[in-house]
Amino acid sequence: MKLQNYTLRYLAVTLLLVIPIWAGIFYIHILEEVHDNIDDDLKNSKIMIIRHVFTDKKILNSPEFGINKFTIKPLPKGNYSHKDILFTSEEFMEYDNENEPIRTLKTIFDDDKGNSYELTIKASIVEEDELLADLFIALIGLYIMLVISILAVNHLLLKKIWKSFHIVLENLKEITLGTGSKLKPINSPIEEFNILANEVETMLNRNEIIYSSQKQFIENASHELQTPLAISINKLELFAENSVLSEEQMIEIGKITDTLSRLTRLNKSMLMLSKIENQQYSEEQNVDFNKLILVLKEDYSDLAEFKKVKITVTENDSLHFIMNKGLAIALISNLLKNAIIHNYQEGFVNFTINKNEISITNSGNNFPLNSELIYRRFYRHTTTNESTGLGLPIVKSIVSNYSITIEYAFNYSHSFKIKFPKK
Amino acid sequence: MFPEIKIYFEFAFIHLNYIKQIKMKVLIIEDEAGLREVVQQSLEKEKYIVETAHDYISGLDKLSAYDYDCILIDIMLPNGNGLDLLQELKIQKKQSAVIIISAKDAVDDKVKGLDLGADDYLSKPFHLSELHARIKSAIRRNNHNGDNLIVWKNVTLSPEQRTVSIDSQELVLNRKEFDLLYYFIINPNRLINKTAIAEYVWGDHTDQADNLDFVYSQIKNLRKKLKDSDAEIDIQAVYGIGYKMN
Repeated sequence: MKLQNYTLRYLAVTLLLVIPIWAGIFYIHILEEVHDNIDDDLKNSKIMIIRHVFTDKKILNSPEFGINKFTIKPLPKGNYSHKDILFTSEEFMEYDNENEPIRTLKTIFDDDKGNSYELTIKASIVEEDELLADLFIALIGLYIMLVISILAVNHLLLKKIWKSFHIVLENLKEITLGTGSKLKPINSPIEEFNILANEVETMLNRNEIIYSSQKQFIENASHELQTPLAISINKLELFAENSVLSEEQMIEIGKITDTLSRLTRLNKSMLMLSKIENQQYSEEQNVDFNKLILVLKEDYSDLAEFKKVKITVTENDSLHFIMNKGLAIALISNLLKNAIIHNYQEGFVNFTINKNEISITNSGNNFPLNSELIYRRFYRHTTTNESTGLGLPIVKSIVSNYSITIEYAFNYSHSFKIKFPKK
Repeated sequence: MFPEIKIYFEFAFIHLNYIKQIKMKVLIIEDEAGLREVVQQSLEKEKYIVETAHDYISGLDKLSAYDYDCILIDIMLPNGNGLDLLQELKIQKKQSAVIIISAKDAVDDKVKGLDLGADDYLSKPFHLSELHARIKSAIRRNNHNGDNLIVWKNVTLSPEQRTVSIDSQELVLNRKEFDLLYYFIINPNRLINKTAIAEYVWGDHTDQADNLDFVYSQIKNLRKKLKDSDAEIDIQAVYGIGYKMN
């Protein structure tokens, strides 16, 4: 769920709770205020009426609840409490044809001759149910207005505010270490987003540095290993040549030399891999793959003959592609070499060159390879300790340097399909 | 023709080669003591006069003071770059053959070095037999004295024309067989590693070929051809390591 809708949902629910609570408190408060006001009014009327009684005795005979809304009733002599009594009751109203709430003030006063009178003053008050209904409608209106305005604010304002945040998100999505990806600037009026963008940039730069120094490290390490390897191999060669050794000892030396050769191969492959990833094979030319495949077929003919594997090339089209020549050779020869080695006697290797596509199919094991794992470094599906486990990873990294794709398929023979981008 | 004269000539040739070899002076400019030492020992075994330098300054001193037939230069040197030494050689108009030895097989360095007049470029690690082959062909090319035949007993080999004759009888070999024979003849009496052979004859990418058994069958073919034409060449298999020609 998007941030916008998410906040809106919570706001809507919160408002739904807050508004009724607020309305209840408001209602009670207003009602109290109204009652208070009416009571004050009634008390005021009482003072005025009593004052009037002392100047004009006629009032004492006022009719019961006429237009004056008050009555004065003489009481027999006695001692009465002069306290005001206020109460609410209901009375039938002709106009409305229903009972309406009425506030009544009852009090007892004495005239100048000491006679006691009972004074009753009435005033109609608010109809609570109608007030409640009115208030309810007003509140629904308010609620809808609030939600709509929040929605509008969310849509317009938040969209604008979060725009810079979305740029940061886009930036993060597009970052690939080692490609020197640049971040789009955000220029947000909001400080937090600017900080975020800055932090992302700092982090990226830091990682970029770590990444490249790590890659550099692999390359340097491989370089540094070359000289000690050279010394060991050459010393062994000289030793084997100069000494009179038994056959067993010679065989042991041979094994050590072979191991060192393997280490050399491994080191060279590692170096090549890291150089491909560091994009150090920058020199490019138009490579004629038809010609290249025929040359490599010839180069590997001795190995193939020895393994009794037949290599055929079917040229349905000519294929040219601009890339580094050395990498083109490594790409094809790694695949060809694998196809010859992981084959059986009297097997076959078949090249098919189509428009923008080369496929190399070979007979071999009757089990499909795991296409997830074969491009992983140092993954070996067989237990030959001669392989470096870097042949296909090199193929993969060459391919991804040039936006070429490679697919593996198994159909009782193993097949790699190299697809070149269409020109 | 008079076979005696022919034999005499061939004898003279061998003799000449031998004298030439005695005189060959090689300078090794390499900072790694271990490598310097092993290369020196190996070259001295071949009757080269070997001098060494361990850094840029001593290298510069030596190559300015003396004339060498061949100089091996490491690119990365303490207090200087090997490529600058090449420049210096050019300025001083020295005629030495130069082979660059580098841990980096970067194409850039290779091209730069060859542009500056180096005769060859060898990346570490290398086999001693390969180093010998490179030194010999660099010196041979540097001397410019036309077709320099290589003679071994009754076998004469012309590197330029890529022909082989046994007792003046031409032996037809294909490209790989010729390369193999050349490699053996240029490294006589040396123990040659099978990887070195594979790299020399089948090129760089075979160093990643997992299986070198195919080399055996090629050598078997060559041995048979040599034997059939009575060549006095004996290529022996040294079990576990490679081959040796006596």
